[in-house]
Amino acid sequence: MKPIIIRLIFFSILFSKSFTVFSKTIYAGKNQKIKSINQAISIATAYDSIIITEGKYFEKNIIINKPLVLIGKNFPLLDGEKKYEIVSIKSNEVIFTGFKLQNSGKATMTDPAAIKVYNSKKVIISGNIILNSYFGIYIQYGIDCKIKDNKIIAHGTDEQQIGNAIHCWKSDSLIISGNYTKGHRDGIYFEFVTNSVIWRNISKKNVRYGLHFMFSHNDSYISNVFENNGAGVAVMFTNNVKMYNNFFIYNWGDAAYGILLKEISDSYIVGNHFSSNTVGIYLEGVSRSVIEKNIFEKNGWALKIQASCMEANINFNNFIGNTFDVGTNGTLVMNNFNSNYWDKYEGYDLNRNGIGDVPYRPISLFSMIIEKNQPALILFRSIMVTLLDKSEKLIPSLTPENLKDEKPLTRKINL
Amino acid sequence: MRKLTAITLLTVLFFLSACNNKPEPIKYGKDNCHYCKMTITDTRYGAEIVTNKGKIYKFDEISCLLNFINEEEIEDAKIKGIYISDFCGNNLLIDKNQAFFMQSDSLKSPMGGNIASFSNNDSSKIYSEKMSGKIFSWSEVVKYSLEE
Repeated sequence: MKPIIIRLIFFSILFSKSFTVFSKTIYAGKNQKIKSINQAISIATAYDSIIITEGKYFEKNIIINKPLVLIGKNFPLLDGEKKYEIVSIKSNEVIFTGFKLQNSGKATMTDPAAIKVYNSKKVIISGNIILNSYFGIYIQYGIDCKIKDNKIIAHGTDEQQIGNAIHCWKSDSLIISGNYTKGHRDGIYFEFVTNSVIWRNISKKNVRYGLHFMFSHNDSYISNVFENNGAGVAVMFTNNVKMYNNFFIYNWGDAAYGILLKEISDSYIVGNHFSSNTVGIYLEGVSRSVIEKNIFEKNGWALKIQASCMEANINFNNFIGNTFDVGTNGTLVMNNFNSNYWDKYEGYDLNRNGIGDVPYRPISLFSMIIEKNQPALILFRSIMVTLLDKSEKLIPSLTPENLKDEKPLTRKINL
Repeated sequence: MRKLTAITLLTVLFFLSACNNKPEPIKYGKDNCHYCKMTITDTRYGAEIVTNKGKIYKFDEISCLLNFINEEEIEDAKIKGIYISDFCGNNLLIDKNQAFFMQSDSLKSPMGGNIASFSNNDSSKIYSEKMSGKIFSWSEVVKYSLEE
């Protein structure tokens, strides 16, 4: 009786494991038997691994159409000769790692990319270097994909057409983490992407936006750095976005914003650092959102709130060294300011409970004038303006009456 | 005397040049869409309105332009002309009355309006076959963009 059971167990283990046990590893490369990557893929069966050794490969378009693991050893170079899409992934469960790709082709109709994923699930693209490409990594109709630790660099200019570094379109459950993007049109681009995470990426010196979000609900972006991009970050037409602990640094320009928020609802902006931007956050059509525990430092305007915003709750933030704390274009205010620290607060705290005894009005008369007449900025820091602002503080007439912080803090919040 | 006429002529010319209400090329990568605030980067979709007074509003695509007219209620009487980029490139602006339009979901325009315009009928036909698009008239474009 016993040997039969043992035999049964033995066979069951053997069969259940058979797929992994018999998958093979194929070596391809200049000094190997198999010279080309395309050839290696064609002889491979599902769940095989292909290891590609160092060298330069001009293979036009590489199509991965079965579940495979492709590993580059010492960064083999795949060149698209400015004509071809380099790698097209058209299968589920592909892992693509350790390659250097450059010069992907350019076309207006098909948006070719260095690596493009078509209608696939569970694809992992990690640890690649992508240089001078039109689009870097492009995912369309992807589910459960990971884009990790890639370096994507181009040298786009205003006049020249260039694609996005990481472009995701109509996808779900993506993880974009630890990537470095530079010099593309948008660093990270999301359109119709849901339930995804953007985590610990660095996006620098892109022509337009560091991050561009449209129609992408229920996503979060956490601990990213967006620095010196043409127009900062844009988050538009989206519900339920969570932005935690990001850095928005040095986005200067006529229409550059730390974040441009347009038509956003039910969102959280918590623990971020806005430093040296023309406008820290620009809000238009924002409703039911929380802006909490952020640091606004050395911006032209920390916040610009258009009259179309409702129920934005702005609490426990530090406003330090901004030229203007808040700007607005209307007189009706339906947003709440509470318990923020404002370095321009000149009130007193008699009972020493850390809360100022008179409310703080973050909008100066002069900032209202500038909103209507930009060239008036030339009078900034003149005696006239200082007098105007002082008299307005005593007898508010032009600034919105209910835009005030009832409980301004007298000490900086430790954030 | 001659000096004076020259000066007056120059000033008149100067003011006349300011009153020019011709379309102005869109500076891609620099100009912002007046409606959605995005920087205009895609040369295939840019659009602009020129008013009677010569004021120019620029947009990243037709749907933004139409939403702007629809929401801000700029009076039709004040609009001198509406100009749209040729999809075939060349950074060429064409009058909406001389343009041909196509709608296709495989276009992926900046704001998802997905309407392309062409300066001639042939190219609109070629592209609509390639992208399984529908040929639209201007009134159909307006209807489609505002319903979206």
